[in-house]
Amino acid sequence: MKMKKTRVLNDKIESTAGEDDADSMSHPHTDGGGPSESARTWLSIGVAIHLVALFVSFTAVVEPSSLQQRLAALFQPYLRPTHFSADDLPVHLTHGNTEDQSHRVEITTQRVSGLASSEDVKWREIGPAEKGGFASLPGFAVSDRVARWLSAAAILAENDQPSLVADLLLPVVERRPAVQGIRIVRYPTDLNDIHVGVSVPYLARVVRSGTTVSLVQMKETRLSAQPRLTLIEPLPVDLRYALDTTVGITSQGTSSQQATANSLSEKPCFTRISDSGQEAGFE
Amino acid sequence: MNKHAQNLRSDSEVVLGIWDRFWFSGTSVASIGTIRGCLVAITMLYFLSAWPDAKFWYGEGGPLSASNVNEFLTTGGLEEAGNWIISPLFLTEAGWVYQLYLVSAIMTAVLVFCGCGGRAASFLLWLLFVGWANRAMLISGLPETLLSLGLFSIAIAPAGKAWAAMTAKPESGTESQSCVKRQHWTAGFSERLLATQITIIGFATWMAMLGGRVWFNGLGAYALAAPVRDRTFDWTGNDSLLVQPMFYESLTHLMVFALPLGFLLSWLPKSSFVGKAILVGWCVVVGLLGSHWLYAMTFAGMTLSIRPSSGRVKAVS
Repeated sequence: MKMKKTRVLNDKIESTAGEDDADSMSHPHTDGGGPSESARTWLSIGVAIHLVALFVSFTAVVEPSSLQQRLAALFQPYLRPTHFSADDLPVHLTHGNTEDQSHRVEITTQRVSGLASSEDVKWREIGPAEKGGFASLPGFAVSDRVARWLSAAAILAENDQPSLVADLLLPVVERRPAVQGIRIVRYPTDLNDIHVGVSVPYLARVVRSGTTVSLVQMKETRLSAQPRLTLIEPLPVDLRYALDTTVGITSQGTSSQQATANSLSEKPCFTRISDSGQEAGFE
Repeated sequence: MNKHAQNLRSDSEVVLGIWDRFWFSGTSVASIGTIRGCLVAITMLYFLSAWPDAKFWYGEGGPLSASNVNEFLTTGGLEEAGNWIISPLFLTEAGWVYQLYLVSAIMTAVLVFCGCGGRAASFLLWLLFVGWANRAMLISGLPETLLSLGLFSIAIAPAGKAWAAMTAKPESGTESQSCVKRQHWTAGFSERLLATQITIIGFATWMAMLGGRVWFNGLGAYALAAPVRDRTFDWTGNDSLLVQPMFYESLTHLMVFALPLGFLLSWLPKSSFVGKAILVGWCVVVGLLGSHWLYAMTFAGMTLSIRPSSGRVKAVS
């Protein structure tokens, strides 16, 4: 009895379904007449799951709760392969923070000895837009891709992930034997204070040894509030490596430690040792 | 008690009826064809834009070459996340394969735009697009996600020429006229899916925007135009209107209110046109200020699918 009633209802719905469109078109003809009862049920379930997945994905972008994270993870096998996932995309357009800032990747053929002195070196911008033409138009697709690539690299650099940054940037310098240094430059926005200029979230020296190419990240000198010094002396190379004034990664999976040590040995690095055994490196 | 149960059953049947009517009522194949035309044209632009830098990214030794991506995922311990990013393009680093892929995708897009190949061509285009977007990984953004959702939704509807709704004359009685009159439930389903998705995305966008203080303190519109590089137009010159606090603050507040208001009005029968105009206007502002061109075009194209229900469902009890 219930089934019969539902069918009557559906017939009624179908008969009134075209009324909206009939307002604008005199005699429309409908093909198919709608899906079967079971098809409607399955389609309804599918639509409901799809929309819930989409809702979870798009609302879990800004500071998701643990529940949202769990749900988003649950839907990943559906959302990722279909590219329906919002993941960490800037759905909000802008929050006026550093992620809006533009980045560029620059190389130099001159020797890079440190962050402070890198400004004296002549840098050249590279990337898919370097040849000009359509690809170099700001704000268009190519420019968007470069922005995402460098933004990801800059974020990784700031989160002490030099290996991942090197994975992203090394291919750019591998085939340019003359290149000795690479850096990511971050440009300010017009919202920044007028005194905020261009910053360098990542700077690395390119170290070549035979077929091996390595990037040795050069970090800003760290200040320390440690107790007074008891010893100032050059450290052995292996200890210097352990103290992370610079962190390196090699391409082709060869010894990054050796490459770093080699690069450091080009310029003596002194380390202050305090009584507590903690240290702060400087050049 | 029996009467109460009957009323309850009747109510649930009405709700089911509304649901069925919303999702499975037929609509004009030509009207969804116009929206498909917009999305497919944007997809063509996207594929064309990928041509100049495809070799740079994915070719042998490129920053996102298959071997490099593999190394990146291994180094970062992200192999599990990478398992769900599927694309046939991960199998090769040959630059010519990528260019061939782009040519095939553009040709498929042309076919779909012209209404050829049926649903198979539309689904093929979606698959080609997803394959490319998944391959892009780190460098794919919001436009890719919107386009994937849009292309999937419109692939459900029967094929039709993108221009059918615009060229048909009411008195002609030609083939295209019959296409305009032709209705199908999959066209309605496709349109509803597109409209519901963009409404959810619009709502999420609005909520996410409110998560940042710039959309409260009036700086949002200015912040959109603020990056000194990567912007098509510079609106922050000394003589620009946008640098006037009164202007950018008003624009920010308007943008915050326009998004939910536009969606609300779009779903109401009497104000649907006004609502869509507001949403398209919102997209134009986002495009002009933030240079988010692909995103703005796709968002605007998807909002055109919103069609309010007449609410004339008759309860059967």
